[in-house]
Amino acid sequence: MNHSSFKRVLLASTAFAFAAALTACGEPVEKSLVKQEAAPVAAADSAPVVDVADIISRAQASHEKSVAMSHGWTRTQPLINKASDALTSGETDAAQEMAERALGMADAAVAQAEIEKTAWQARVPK
Amino acid sequence: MKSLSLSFILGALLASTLAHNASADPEADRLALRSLYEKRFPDIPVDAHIDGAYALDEAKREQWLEMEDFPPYEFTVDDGETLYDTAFANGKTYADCLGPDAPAVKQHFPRFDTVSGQVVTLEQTVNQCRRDNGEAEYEYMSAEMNAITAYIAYQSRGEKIDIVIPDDPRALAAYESGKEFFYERRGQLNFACSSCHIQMSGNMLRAERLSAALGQVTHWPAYRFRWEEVGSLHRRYMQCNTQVRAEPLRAQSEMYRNLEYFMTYMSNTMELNGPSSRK
Repeated sequence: MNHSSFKRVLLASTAFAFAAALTACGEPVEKSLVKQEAAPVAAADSAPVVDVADIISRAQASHEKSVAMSHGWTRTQPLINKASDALTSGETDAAQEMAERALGMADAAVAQAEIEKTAWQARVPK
Repeated sequence: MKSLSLSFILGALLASTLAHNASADPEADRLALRSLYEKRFPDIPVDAHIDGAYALDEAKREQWLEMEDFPPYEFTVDDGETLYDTAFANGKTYADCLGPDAPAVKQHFPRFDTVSGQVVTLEQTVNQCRRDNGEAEYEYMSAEMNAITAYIAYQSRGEKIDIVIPDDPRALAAYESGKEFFYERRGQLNFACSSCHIQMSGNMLRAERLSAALGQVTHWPAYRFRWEEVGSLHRRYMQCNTQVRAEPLRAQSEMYRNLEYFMTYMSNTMELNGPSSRK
């Protein structure tokens, strides 16, 4: 991971952890405010928690693996960067959508590298 | 029992290695590729593929030949000649590094260096020469490097490619590595070099005719109108990779050098005709 990408993921992770900490350990005043809105909290509690920073991290790791196998795709890293930026600026839904796409692309690149370890031989003219 | 199993595994590994080496036959690969193009383009002599897509498309060939009347790489060749003829600070010249046939030596590059165990390109040899004589290296994609190699290519015109794969398992491994890269699909568009230049050679890709793989290395460095300057074969590799949305490698990276080794061996006996112009 280059310094800039690492910084992005670190920033995104920190922002997410900070937000999570606020939710879990917020001040009593905020808690009391939340308690007054019982229904939305219950709905939020039942929704699955998506860790966008984790998806970004996995996409980054998978992309780096594909690059190390000489099979990186050009559009993956820019998408990871955009997802990180979106997460940092609080656009969680957009960040999640981009992070999932980046993860899919990175995993596909690794799969391509694995398949091509042997598949290329069938293309050699005999 | 344990030692028996170990012996079996070692035996299997050895057999597998031998089988792999036995299957690596560069000359058989070259002849098979020539045969493929002979069958695909029966009206075009295989050696005519040194003109790339212009061997396959008469209308484009006419335009190209007209452009060659005033070749856009001419100034670069002139610059290269000046650089080539200018002695280093110690009084020596490139000719002292490149041997008695210098500057007409391109037909021997890339070559396998049994000391380093790696493929060595003409560009690396130019920089080695500069280092050995106390001069700063050129950037591989610099105007100076393109000029020097364009001049050497120009002086080597008409020579026939003569790439040797020495009897060294490392040389064969480098060849195989380049071959694998050539046939492997990569990038988001899932293309191999062979997808365009073997499987679909002769067909149109948008407005461009896809050239044959044979003869592709004979005319570099080339002036590309898209680049508006002379550039290297490795720059073209980078562009090809990027076009299929694959992360390009560095110019003169080991993989690209191995790819050049494989591709140039495939074009053995073909005539050098660089530098050239391409769209």
